[in-house]
Amino acid sequence: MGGIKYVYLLALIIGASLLTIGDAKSKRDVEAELNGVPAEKWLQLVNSAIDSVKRQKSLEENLLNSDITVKNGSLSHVQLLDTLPSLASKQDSELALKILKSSLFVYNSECLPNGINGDECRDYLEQKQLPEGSSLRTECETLLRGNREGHYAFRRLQVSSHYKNGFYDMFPNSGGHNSLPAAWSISKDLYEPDSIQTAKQIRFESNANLGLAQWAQFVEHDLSKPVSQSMSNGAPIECCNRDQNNLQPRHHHPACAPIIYQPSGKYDVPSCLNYVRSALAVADCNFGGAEQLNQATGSLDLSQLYGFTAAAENKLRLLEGGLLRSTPRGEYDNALLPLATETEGPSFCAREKIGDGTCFAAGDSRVNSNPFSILIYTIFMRNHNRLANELRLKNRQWGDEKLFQAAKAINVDIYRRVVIDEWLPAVLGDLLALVVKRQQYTRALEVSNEFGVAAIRFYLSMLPNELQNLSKDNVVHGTERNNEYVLITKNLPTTNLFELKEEIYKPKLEYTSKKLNDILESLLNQETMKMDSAYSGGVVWHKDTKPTHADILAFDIQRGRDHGLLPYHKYVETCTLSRPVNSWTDFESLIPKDVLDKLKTIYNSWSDVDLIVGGISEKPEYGSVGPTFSCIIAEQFVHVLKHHVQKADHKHARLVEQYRHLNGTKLLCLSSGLLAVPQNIFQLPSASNRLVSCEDV
Amino acid sequence: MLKLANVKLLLVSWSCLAAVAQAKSYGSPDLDIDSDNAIVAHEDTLDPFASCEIYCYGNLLHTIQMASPPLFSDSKTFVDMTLKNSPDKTLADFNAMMEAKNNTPSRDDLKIFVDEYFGVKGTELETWEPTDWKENPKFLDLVSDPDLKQWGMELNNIWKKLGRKMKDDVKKNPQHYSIIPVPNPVIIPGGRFIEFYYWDSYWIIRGLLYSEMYNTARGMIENFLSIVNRIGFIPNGGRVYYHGRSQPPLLTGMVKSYVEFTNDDLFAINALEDLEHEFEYFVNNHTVEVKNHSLCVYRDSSSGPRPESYSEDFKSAAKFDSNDDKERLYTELKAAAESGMDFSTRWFISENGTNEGNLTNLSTTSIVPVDLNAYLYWNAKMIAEFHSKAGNTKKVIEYENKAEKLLLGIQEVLWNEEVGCWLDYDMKNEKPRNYFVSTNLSPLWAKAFNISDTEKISAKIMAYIEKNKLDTYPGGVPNTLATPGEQWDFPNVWAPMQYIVVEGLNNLNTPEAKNMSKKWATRWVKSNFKAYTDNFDMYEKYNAEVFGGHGTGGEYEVQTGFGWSNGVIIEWLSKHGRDISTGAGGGASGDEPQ
Repeated sequence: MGGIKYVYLLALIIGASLLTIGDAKSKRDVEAELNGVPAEKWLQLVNSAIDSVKRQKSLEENLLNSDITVKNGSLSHVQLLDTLPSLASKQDSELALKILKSSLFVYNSECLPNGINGDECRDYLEQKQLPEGSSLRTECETLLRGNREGHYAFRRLQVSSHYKNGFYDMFPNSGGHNSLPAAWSISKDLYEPDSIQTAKQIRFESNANLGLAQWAQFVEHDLSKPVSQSMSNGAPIECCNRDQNNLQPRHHHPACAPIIYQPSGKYDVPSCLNYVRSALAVADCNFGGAEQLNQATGSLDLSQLYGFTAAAENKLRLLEGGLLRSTPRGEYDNALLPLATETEGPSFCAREKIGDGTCFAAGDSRVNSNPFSILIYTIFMRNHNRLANELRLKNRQWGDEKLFQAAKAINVDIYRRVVIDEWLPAVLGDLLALVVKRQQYTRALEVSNEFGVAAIRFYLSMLPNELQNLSKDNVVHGTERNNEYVLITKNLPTTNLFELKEEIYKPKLEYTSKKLNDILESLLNQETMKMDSAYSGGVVWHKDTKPTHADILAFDIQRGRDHGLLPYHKYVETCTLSRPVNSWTDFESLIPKDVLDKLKTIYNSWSDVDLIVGGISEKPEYGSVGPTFSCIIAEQFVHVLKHHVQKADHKHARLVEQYRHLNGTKLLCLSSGLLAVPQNIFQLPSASNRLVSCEDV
Repeated sequence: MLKLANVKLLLVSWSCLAAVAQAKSYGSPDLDIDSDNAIVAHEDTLDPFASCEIYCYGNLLHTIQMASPPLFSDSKTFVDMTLKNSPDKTLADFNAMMEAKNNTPSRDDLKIFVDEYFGVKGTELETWEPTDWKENPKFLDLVSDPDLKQWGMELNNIWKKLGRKMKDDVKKNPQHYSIIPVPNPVIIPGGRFIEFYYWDSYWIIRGLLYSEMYNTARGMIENFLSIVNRIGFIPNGGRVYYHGRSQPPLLTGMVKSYVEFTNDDLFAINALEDLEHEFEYFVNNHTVEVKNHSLCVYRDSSSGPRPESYSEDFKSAAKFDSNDDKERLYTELKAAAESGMDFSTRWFISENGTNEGNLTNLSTTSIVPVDLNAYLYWNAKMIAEFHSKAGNTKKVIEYENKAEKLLLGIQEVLWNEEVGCWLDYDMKNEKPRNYFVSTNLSPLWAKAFNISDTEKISAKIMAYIEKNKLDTYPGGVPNTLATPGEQWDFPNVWAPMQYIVVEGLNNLNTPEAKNMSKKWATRWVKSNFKAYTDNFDMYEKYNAEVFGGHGTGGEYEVQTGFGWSNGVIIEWLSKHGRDISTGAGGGASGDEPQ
C-alpha cells in the first residue's frame, strides 16, 4: 500500500526529467537556424516588442475614457479581490510582458516562417539571453538585483507548458473551430441541482468537517496568489460590460480572456464573466514563454495574516506590546480583525459604496472571501495577540519589536504543525502525509502551478451553499465548566447561519465574538460536501440568465488554461498510473463511472480533459482528494517542508519549543469561546473523535 | 433605338445634375437619391428603396435595435431579416402595438413582434454554385509547392460556398426585403457579410478571373452597372440601408480587370456610359475645394445612425447633447464607412489636431484622402483608355484632362516632399496628417504620379518604409501604427491594403522597390497559409505582429470566408507561386527573396 504512494512521488520527480529528453537532431537544426540570426536583428526584435507594449497604452487610454474598467461592487470586483496585484507585481509583470513579447516577435519572425514550432523555438529561447546593451536587459538585471521576496514564477511540474503557440496563446483560441469546450459550458454541464447533491451526500461518509475546507483555503492563501494583469497605469482590466454581456472587440484589452457562455436561443446574447490573464513573472533575463507570477511564497509563514512585505506588516501592527491591530467588541479586546479604512476598502471588499458595512483588513486581499476565511484569520490574529500578551507578562523588559517577532514565530510554528501534522493527513491520508515528511529533497522549489491553481482548489467543491447553525444555544461564551456538553446529532432541526453566496467579499453578517463562535462550532459539526465534480449552486452559475455571482469552476478551468497547465492525462501518466494514457478506459480506475460518462459527453477526447476537472472527478482514496491531486499536493509539501528547514528561525527556537504542546484543538480552544473542541479538528465529533473540554487546556 | 434615346436623355439630365452639384461647396454633401435622382425618375421600375422605411430609419428600427439587453448579439441581424407583410402594414401594426403597450414595450413584446412580422435573416439569398466553376484552373499549375497548390485548390473550392443567388420573389416584391435586387448571382465576402459589397468585389472579381470564372465575374460587374443605371451610384453594399454612402469607387477597375483577362474590349466600351455616370456622380457629390484644387472626400447623405450598427452609433453619439452634433457624428461614422475603413485613427481629428481619440473624434469629411483621389485619377485614366479604344477622341481628351487635374491636386495637396510620401490632408487644421496609413502608398498602385519622377519617388518611399519600420512585422504591413482598438488600425492588416502596397511598390519598377514588393507578397502568402492551416479559415483581416494570426478589434468579431483575402492569395499564388515554399527559408521577414 505504502509502496504505491511512494511511486506517485518518485514518478513525478523522475517523470519531469524524462520528459526533457527531446529530439536531439531537430534541436541542432533549430540552433543552426537561430544562431544565424545577426545581433542587430535580435535588438530590432526586442525594440519591436517594446514599441508594441507602448502602443497598448493608447488602447488603455481609450478604454478608460469609455469607462471600461472594474467598477466597485461589481462581479468583476469580487474576482479582482481574489487576484489583486501589488504594485511590485504590476512592475514585474509589465517587464515580463516585454520579454514575452520580444520572444513572440522572435517566434513570429524567425521561428514560424522557418518551420520551427513553438516548443522548439521556446526551448531555444529559454537558453538565450536578452541582447547585450538593450534597455530591456538592463531593466531586467536591475529588477533581479532588487529585493524580490515573493513575485517568483510558479513552477511547472513538467517542463513544457500547454499553449497553442508554445508561448502564451490559450486553448481554445477565439474564432476558431477548436474542439476544446469553453470553460463555462463545462461547469454548466457538470452542475447537479443541490437536491441531487444532497441525496448523494447521504451515501457519502467521510466524517470530514468543513474545517478541512476552511484550512485548505487558508493554506492556499499562504502559498498561492496568482494575480491579474493590470493596465500600465495600474487600473484594473474589465472584459465584460455592465450587463455581464461581452464587450465590443474594440474594447477588448489584450490581457482579456473573458469567460463567455452563448445560450442557443435566437434572442440570447452571450453572458460574460470577467477573466483577466494572470500577471507574468520575470524568471531570468532570457527570452522564453509565459510564466505566471506568484505573489505568495513557498513556505508556510502566515503571510496572509501578516502581509507579504515588511511595509504591509507594519500597517497591520499596533506597534505596541507586540500586538497586531484588532477590533474590540464588548468585553473582548481581540474580538475581531481590524476594519479596513476608507482607502483600503475597495482592496478588501466588493462594495459599491466604500464604507458601507463591515470590511476586515489583513495581509491578503482574500480575507473577506467568506465567513470561514474571516474566522480563521481572526483565530490566528487572536492567537498572536494572546501570545504577545503572555510573553509581555513574562518578559517585562521586552519592547514591541521583540515581542512581536517572538509571538509571530510561535504563531507560525503552531500553524505549521497543525497544517503538517493534522490537516495534511486529513487531506492525503496518514501514510502519504508521512511519506511527505520523510522525503528528502536537496533544494526547496517554488510553488507549482498545478498546486496553486488546480490541486489546492479542491476545497471549493466541498463548500455547501449554507452553513447550518449547529451551535448549541445554551452555550454562552466564557461561562463556567459545563460537563453536560453533548454531541449534536445530524437529526436536529437546523436553521442556517448564512448563505455563502450572500457573503462573498461582502460581509453582511453582524460579526461578534458570539457569531464567530457559532460559525466555528457549526463548521466543526457540519460535514463537508463530497469532493467531486459537482459544485454547489452558490459558487457556480449554472443558469442561462444574467449571472449575479461568479462561477468558480469555470474560473478555475479558464485560469488553468491561462497558466498553460497540461491536460489531466499528463499528470495521470506521471503521477498516478506511471504509464501512458491511451483512452478513456485508463481513467476508469480513478473516476467513478457516472462522472466519467459525463466527461465523455463534455469533451471530444480524453486528451482534452482539464486538470482541475479530472482532479475533482477522481474518487478520494485514502484522504479527502483523489490520487492525482494527492500526488500534486504531496509533491508541493515536500518543498514546503524543505523551505522550512532552509529558512529555519533559530533565534526563537527555544521559545518556540515551549509551545510545542499546542495543537489544533488547543489553538481553537484558546482563540475562541468554545467550551469543547474535538480531538481531531478536521473530523466530525464522534465516539472515536471525542470532544476535549477547553477548560482542560 | 428606344433605349439609345433614353440613354441620351439620361446623359443630359445627369450632366445638369452634375453642374448643380459641382457648384456645391464642401460642407453640404446632402445628396438625396430618393427624390433628386434623375435616373430613377426615368426608370420605369419599382422603387429600389421601398423597404427603407423599415430598414433605414424610423421608430420601428429605433425601438427594435435599442432593446436592452439587445435582441441580437449583432445589430446587423435585424436589418437583414425579411418582411412577412408590406412595409405599410408592418408599420401600422407596429404603431398599434406600441400604442397598446403605452410606447414602452418589454423585450418580450418586441421578440413577439419580430417573430410575427419578420422572417429569418438572409433567406432571400440562396447558396448558388457558380456554373462556370473550374476544378483545375491554370493558375494552380504555376504553384510549385505541393501544400500551397493544395491550398490554392481549396481556395478555388471556397467560391462555391460564397456564391449567392436572389430568390425570384425579391424581384417581384423588393419591398419585402432589405436586399437590393440585382440580375446576376454574386460572390459574397462571407461571415456576417451575406450580401455583395462594392469594393470587396474588386479583389473577389480578380480572384474569379484567375480562377477562370469569367461569367460569374462579368455577372457581378453587370450587376454594378445596372445599379449605377438605376440609382446613379453603387451603395456600400447590397442593402437598402446603405443608401446614403458608396465605397471606394473601383467599378472601372473591375471592368479593366475583366478586359485584361478576356480581351473583350467591347465589354468596356459598352460599359462606358455607366462608368462615366458613376465617375461624374461620385465626383459631383464628393468634391471639396482645397488649396485651389478640386479634390474628393468621403461623405454620406442620409440621416441617423447606421441601421446595421444602430445601437453602437446611438451610444457613441450619447456624448453629444445637441441633435445637430449627434447628426454630425452619424455623418462622420457613415462617411468613414464609405471609405471602407470603418473605423480608424485615420479619420480621427483630436482637439489638438492629432489622430488621437475615439469615435467621437471622427472627422472623415474634413480629411482629403490620398486613396480616393488616386482611385478617381485612375478611373479617369481608364475611362479615357476605353474611349480611345472606341475611337471617341473628344472623350479621351475630356477624361485625360480630368485625370490631369486630379493628378495636379494629388501632387500639390497630398504629396509631401519633406516626409517623402503622400499624406491625407486635414482641412480643419489646414495641414497634412503625418501618420502612416497603408493608403499613403496608394498613388503607386493607381500610378497617380509622374513616371519621370520614379527614381526620386522610389528613393523617398523606401526611406519612408525604413523610417516607419514597415518591414519589421512578421504578419504584414499594418494599416496604421496607432492602437485605439479600431479594426482599421494597428495591428490589423487587410488583404486589399496589403495588395495595394505590394502592387504599388512593384509599379515603381526600381530593383529595391520590386524586391520589397516580392518579399512582402511572399510573406503575406506564407502567413495567410499558416493561419489557414490552423483552422482552415481565411479571415477578413490579419495581425501584423503574428505570423499566421488573424485580426481583432472594432465592433464585431473577426469574420471568416473571406472574399477579398481569397482573391489576393489566388492572384499572388499565380504571380509568385513558382518561388514560394512553405518549408524553411523562402523569404519571411528575415530573408531576401530568391
